[in-house]
Order: sequence, then C-alpha cells, then structure tokens
Amino acid sequence: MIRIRQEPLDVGAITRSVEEPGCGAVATFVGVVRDHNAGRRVKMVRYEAYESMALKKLEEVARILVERFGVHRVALEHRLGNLRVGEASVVLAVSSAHREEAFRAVREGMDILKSTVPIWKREFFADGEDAWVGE
Amino acid sequence: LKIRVLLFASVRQSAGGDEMTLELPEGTTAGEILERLREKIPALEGLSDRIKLAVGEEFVAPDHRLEEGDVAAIIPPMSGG
Repeated sequence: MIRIRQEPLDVGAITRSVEEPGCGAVATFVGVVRDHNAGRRVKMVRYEAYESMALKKLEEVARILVERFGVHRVALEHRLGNLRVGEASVVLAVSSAHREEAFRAVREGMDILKSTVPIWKREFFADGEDAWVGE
Repeated sequence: LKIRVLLFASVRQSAGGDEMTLELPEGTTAGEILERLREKIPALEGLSDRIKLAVGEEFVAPDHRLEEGDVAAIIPPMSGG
C-alpha cells in the first residue's frame, strides 16, 4: 500500500504487507527522526506535503521499482505532522525472489523519493530556532 | 489567463499564505510565475535556481505554457524521507 498519513507508521505491518510465497527476500528501510543535524540538537520535526501530488509521486516511485528492479511488491508510507526524535517518518518495504534486487530497490527508491516527492521537513532545534531542511 | 498558484514550505511562510490567484497574459510560461511573484515572496530570491514548478500535479519545465484554469505549484527544495 502507498499512503501518506498523520498517524504513526507501523513498520511490522508495512513489512508483512509485501510478503509473498514466491519471494525469498523482504527489505525494509525505515527513516527515523534524528536528534541532531549539522551540529545542532533537534527537538522535533514537522513534515508537510503537497499531498495529492506527493501521493502520485510515491506511487510513481513504487512503479519504477517494480519496472527497474523486478521487485514483486512495494509498500511505501510517509508520515506528516509533528514527529519526535526516534519516530519513523518513512517506511519503504519491497519483496523479491532474491535479496540483491530488494537491497538495490530500497536504496534507489529512497533516492528517487527524496528528489521527486513534494514533501518538506522543518526542523525545530533545542535552542528555539527552526529551519527548512535542504535550503 | 486565470491560474491558481499553490505555495509550500518556506515559500508559503514567506508569502504569508498557501495560495494565490494570478491574472496573466496569454502565453505566460510557468517560469514567468516566479518573476511575477518575486516582489511578493522574498524567499524566492535566494532559492530561484533550486525551485521546481508543477502544473496539474506534474513537474514542468520553465518554458511550459500555462492555460486557463491551471493549478500551478511552486516547489521549493524537497526534503522528504
């Protein structure tokens, strides 16, 4: 399933959703909120999206992974709103017959996501300041 | 040409609102939206060459010609993941 949600992401459920009898490999990438960035302490992050377009672009990422790497199933969920340190912001799970294409697909999938999906992260620092990531 | 322009992240903050409606001459391109809004949205200045444009929820090149009723979006550097 491909979706964008405000609620916490269920890594176990997302991973299980791509399992298939013909697949000997399931790879899951979990992006997690880190407590620092560029030497500053991060207290919280907030994600916002151009939601309708972001959903289309996430679906496109999944389609590319199936076409390019021959993975069988793809599940991709991105969280929005306020997230605390340690919470999952994105989960990408893929299944394939063998491990090699699963490993490559999650790496490539995250790279494509970062450059094509209109989602933005704003970091709130311990010192009270904040910044949009990537600017 | 009447078009809606959606604004996000730092550009939304800088504009003080999440959307604008523009009245533009026939033949205006997506890239020209940025020229038009430069004065109203100070954040565009520092980001100009890193901004992408979308029309109808698809990325378009700056020379994409706008049509009546289009919904365009200014996409500042993305940072999902």
